[in-house]
Amino acid sequence: MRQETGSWSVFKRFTVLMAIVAAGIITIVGSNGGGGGGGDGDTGSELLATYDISIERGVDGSDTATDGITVTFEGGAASVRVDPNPLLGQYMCDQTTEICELSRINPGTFLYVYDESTPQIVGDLVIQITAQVIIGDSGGMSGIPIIGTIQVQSVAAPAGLDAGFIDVEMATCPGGPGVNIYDNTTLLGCYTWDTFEDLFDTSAVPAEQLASFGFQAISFLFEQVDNVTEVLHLIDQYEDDLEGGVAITEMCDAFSNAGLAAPVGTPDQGMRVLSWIDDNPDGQLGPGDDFEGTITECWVNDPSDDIDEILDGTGNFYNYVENVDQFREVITAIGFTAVAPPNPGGVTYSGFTISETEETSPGTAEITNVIGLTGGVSVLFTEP
Amino acid sequence: VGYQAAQHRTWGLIALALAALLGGLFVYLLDRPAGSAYLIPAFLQLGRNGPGILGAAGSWLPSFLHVYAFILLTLAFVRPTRSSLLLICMGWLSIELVFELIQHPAFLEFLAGLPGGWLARIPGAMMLREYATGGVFDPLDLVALGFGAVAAYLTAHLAWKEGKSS
Repeated sequence: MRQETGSWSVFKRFTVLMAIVAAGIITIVGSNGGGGGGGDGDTGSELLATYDISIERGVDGSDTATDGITVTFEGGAASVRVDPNPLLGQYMCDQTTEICELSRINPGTFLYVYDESTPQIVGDLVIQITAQVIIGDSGGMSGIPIIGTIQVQSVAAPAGLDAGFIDVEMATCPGGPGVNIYDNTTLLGCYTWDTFEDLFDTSAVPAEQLASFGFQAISFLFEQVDNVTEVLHLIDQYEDDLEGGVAITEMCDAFSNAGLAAPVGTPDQGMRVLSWIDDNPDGQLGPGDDFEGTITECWVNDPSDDIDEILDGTGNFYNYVENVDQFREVITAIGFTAVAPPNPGGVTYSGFTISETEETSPGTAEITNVIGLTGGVSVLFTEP
Repeated sequence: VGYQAAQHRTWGLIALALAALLGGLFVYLLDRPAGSAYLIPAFLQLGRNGPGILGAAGSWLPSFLHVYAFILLTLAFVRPTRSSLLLICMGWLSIELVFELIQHPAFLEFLAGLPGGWLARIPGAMMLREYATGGVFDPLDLVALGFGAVAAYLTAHLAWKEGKSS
């Protein structure tokens, strides 16, 4: 027995033990990659559990200078652009429901907002993810940023609005989850999400308004990604129909089903149609093809929100990407990406409007706000 | 003779530990969907989504094998007394339980309640958080870990008993 212990010094023994413990912990952590991926039906290929997301400029061959998405609203307009570097993050795909949701936004990525109003309302902004934003559940709210920091920087702002650097840090405020807003490192306050989102429309100090506006720009961009995931889901679900030349038609929510009278001039129930364009002509739905989504006064009723939306217009989804690893039967890349000019790519909107509706009096919905969308972005999910 | 018995026991424990680790690896290669483990390249994983070839056992077996393997591996390099044997088993069981429990929704809720940005400034904390949010808490894993630790304790106990009798 003495020989057995004598061959090991205490130091060596300790080192080996620490190595074993480290190996144990590394294998525990490394054995977890976020669970399984969901099936995707017709293609026979499955989704991975995790995808990196890249939102890039959508190349519009006709005018690259105005690339991005321009939002017009009452009294002004603003363009949201990601050029020259992509906005990066990660999506997690649920194994059972096959729904993919944003799980994080990578640090160090930028977003630009150009105030195209005359005169400018907030000025141009640079928005940077300064600490990784993690999306999760907190305080009874799901799918909200719970950790992370973004920085909103004024660039050539109108007089009185040049707030310098504004940090928006995810936090738990007295009333629930929300954000801390810092103006050049001075804490202005902690605001719950509802309050924070409304700051832009209130008489809050400029830094708080800009913080709210900047964050809404990021949210807006990821809403476009959600639209893309919805379309990808439809393509997967109805691939055979689309290939057979049948457009997918879906009826939207009906005002009458919600016990409401539709706004004046709006039908009770709108519809949306998705059709396939064999732009890479081979008779088969696949990479290089395009899709057109025609949405006709489509009311989207969110029961958890007092404000709902009527969508109207055309969304084009150019240059479909679907890379499949045949051996593993998994989708390694999917989305709509820009290709070199003059070929357009990505997701583009033309003459698209979003009308916000509210039940202003019992039983009657009215349009309270209308925004327009033009331009586009490229959205690509890839295997990490 | 005592030295030889100890050597024999050591290599026996290492062999059992490696076999258990290999077993766990095979579960990940054959039964789990691509991309389900950071340490294993997705292209090596043949499992598809949905029920795997091992059925429900595929979900808890790696937990059982992992705690079993690392207890034996640790024991192979120390000369445990009866009390330290128990201590090693409990130590590994605790580590494994902690990593399982931090995947529990209640812990994620706790993390979410921490001041925003605070966690992001601690090196490695975000990786741990990703582990916690990326995994799925499964009570069956807790049971499997308990059985794995008990099985390792009994294996070691038998090994030492056999060593003494020989």
